[in-house]
Amino acid sequence: MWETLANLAAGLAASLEPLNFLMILAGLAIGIVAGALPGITMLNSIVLVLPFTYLMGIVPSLLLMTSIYIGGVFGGSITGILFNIPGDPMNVPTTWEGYQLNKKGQVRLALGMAIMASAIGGFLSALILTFASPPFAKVALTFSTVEYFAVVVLGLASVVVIGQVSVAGALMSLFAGMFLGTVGTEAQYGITRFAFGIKFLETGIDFVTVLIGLFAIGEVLDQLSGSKAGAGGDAAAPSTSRARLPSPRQLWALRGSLVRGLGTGVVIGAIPGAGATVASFVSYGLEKQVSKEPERFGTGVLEGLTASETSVNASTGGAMIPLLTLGIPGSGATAVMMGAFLLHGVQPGPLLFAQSPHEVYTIFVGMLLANLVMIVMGLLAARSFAQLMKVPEPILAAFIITFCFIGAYALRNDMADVWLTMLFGILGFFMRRYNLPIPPLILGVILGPLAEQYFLTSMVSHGNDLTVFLTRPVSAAVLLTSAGLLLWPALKGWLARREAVRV
Amino acid sequence: MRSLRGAIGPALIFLAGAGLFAAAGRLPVVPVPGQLGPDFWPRLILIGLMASCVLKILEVARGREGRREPTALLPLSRPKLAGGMALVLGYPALAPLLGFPLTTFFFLLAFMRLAGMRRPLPLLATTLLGTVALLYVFVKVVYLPLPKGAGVMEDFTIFLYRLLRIF
Amino acid sequence: MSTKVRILGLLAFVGVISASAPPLFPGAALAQEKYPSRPVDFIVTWGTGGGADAMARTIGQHAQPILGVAIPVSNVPGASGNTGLGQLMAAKADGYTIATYIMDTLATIPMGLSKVTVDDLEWVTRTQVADSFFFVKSDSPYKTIQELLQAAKANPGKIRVAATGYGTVDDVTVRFFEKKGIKLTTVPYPKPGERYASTLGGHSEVLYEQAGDVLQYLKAGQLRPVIIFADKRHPAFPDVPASVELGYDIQLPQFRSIVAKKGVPADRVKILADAIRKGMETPAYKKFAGEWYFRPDSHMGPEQFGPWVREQVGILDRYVKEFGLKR
Repeated sequence: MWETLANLAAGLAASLEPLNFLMILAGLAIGIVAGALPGITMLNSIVLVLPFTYLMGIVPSLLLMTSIYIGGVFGGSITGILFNIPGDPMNVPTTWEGYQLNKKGQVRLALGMAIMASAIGGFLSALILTFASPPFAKVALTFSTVEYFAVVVLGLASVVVIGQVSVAGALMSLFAGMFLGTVGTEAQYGITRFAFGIKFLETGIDFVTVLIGLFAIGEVLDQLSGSKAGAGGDAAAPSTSRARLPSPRQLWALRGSLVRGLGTGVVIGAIPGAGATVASFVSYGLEKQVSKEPERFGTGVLEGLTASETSVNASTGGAMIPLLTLGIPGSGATAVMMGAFLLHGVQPGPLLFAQSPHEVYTIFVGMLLANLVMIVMGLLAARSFAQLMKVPEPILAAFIITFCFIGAYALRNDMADVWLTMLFGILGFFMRRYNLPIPPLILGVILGPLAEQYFLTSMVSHGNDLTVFLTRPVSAAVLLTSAGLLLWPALKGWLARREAVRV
Repeated sequence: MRSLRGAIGPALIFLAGAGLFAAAGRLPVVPVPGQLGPDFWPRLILIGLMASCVLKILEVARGREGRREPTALLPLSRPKLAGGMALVLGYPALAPLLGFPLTTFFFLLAFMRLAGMRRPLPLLATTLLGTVALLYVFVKVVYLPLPKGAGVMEDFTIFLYRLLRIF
Repeated sequence: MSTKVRILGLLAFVGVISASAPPLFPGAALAQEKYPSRPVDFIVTWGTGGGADAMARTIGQHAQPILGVAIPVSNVPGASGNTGLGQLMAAKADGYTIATYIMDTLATIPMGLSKVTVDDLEWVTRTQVADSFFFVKSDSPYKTIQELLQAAKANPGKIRVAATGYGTVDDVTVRFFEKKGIKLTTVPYPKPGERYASTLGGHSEVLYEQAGDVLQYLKAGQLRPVIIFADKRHPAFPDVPASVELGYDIQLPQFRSIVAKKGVPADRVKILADAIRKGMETPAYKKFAGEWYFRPDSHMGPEQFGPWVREQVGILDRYVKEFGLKR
């Protein structure tokens, strides 16, 4: 314990060194801006920044990258709240409530709440990372693809039940997305599926192209063709768009949502693959289920925004645990950080804490600090991005498409991804016109391939015995939760009717 | 009859699903004995897709589609939509030929004009400054190898980059 | 509509101008140019944080000052490296685009999964060769490779080998044992992290990997090697028997290298190869190479590398035909 505290004190001193602190500031700024620019994602920025760390030491490099990560997952919510264009799939639930609050003229509250929820979630998860990494990692290793598969199913189930007009429409969208996920080169056999000789399908469909196509380009086309007033148009006047932090009393009233968001974020967010995205949807779904007025969700409810935003940022600490303790990156951002470690000749993993305690604890303290500094940076960024709503719509729309071009291209420096983005933009327009929900499709594209891989690997590992999903306790529990999530609305109605009969 | 129009989309998707289901059977693979092949999962998904289409058609037939939101019925400017789509597709089509800088310049110009920016001077200034700023940030600072164009246009782009001191 | 017409007119105008006046852009034409005079794009055909990525970024970093231009790295993962190679083939053969090439990609050629053949590339430099091992968890009941193979004979298919995928080098090795009457089960985990976690967590009994990639787990005592697929033992692991010594004549060492598109002028290939060699001679790179247990004779210049690769394809081709793996 004392040793940990001494290490933390040294870490604090190190992260307050001018260069290191500057990196935290720069990282947050880059992350928030990249995340908040429609079309450019946090992952783009973290990859593009990697070469700049060649010449730095390991500590400033990693402080820079973790700060980009922390700032970026929050920045994706700014663009969601302001323009209805989430920066990352995990920001989608935040967008559902945040953009509605914006439309109701409460953009200050939405942004302020997002900032506080992000900071609280991120800070507490960094604390857990600091003090409880080893036991967490031990538990994580007992999970196999069977458990991973169950978690993916939970994510899929939650998006179907959340606020859909028609469950059939949501299912269509979800399965279409999961099918799109199978297009291209398959990972286990290495063969190409469903490309039909079209070159840009052979490489597969990156979910980022689907995300920015459906949300950003689709939204721009929708506004251009005038089928509804523009994002800037029907949102509140810019004069009220400066973020306002919630009062302590408001926060206290939302404590339940904060705790639930934190719990789902840390636990599910630590699961490799799509943990953070699943966590965000699950926390939102959970919030809706425990709410006394679930029918109000989707109209600008603070509980939904708070829970999902807390879980999104709580996943940052969670995702760092397998990277630092096991050397296993569970997400795109942590994979790039793994690269940064290797470049500096440091292997993340079981020896890291023993061999480089100084570096590790500086990262811990850096993450804690970054989450605190983010409150200030977030306010500043929210203020300046809200100014964007004053920019004439034609300029905004044209540049959003150019950013989408660059963001898609930067994925693999390939025009194929730009083509896909533009085509998904047109699909997004039609999905809007015909009221097909977009989030299930995106979740299908992200989770579909993971579900396939985890399922097939589980089958190979357990001699094609399907019962393994129910005989392993964690998997069984998660799958039962998913089933409950799907059946809960019906069950609730039935219970209510029974109650009514009795009375 | 109006209520049945909502069933056309799901029906078409159902047919596409059936076609793809058949296509999955022709995947080239040496199966690993005793293991599920690469066609197993897509077929499972396609069955799900077709089933959900049937559900949707039933929903439409039972008249529950009446809850359509009014957004879909708002007026639509077809010329603007067609122009927007043409530009969105023309952008990636031309970028590998003309290079990113020139294509972006034309794209921004045309799109802003289409979206309703009329005054030529602000239009040109925004486009020019915007393009150059983007080039500095993404090519100069972060070395993103954006398309340079084909043939002589590649030389032009490299010339432009040298002129702007990007290379 | 008039906007469109005007734009088309402008485009046509620019087209005509640019077609008729190439000398307008001095210094841009290939012939007159000193090489390299602008950034050399480096395509890493695998994702960030993996072995190929570490190699490319480390060498790029050290070769950069020698070449005098930036070497921006971009990761283009997919199809065992073939997606990135497709991009290399789409670029000009002017030496301003180079790519990584590793054994796993080479294995896709005899499998019939690659469109890029050995003759499509300039084999600039082989940078790394690392031997592959079978690793088990340190508390695994199988103390030696013999015990492991005995168990596999007794319970065919019960021993699971975490591998990158079907038809890969890993899988070929597993199939080799199957031919010898020892049935192991290949469990495909495309991501390295998932592969390691599955063995560390006891979800697969054996891991097929190179020592450098799992160095941390070896040092921490979480994994131990039971066999090295080579003709002789590795000095760093003197107690680990070599496959050839035990009578299993299979060795498919991982190699990583740097390639360019066929047709890059020979002098430019030489400039690149020289810069890479000098980069590999820096102390920082040597430290990296030592830590990853690369063979000391890893470096191979353009003259020897091409023929060596052809030889490797021949070996792989034989296995693929023998095990009926071709797609």
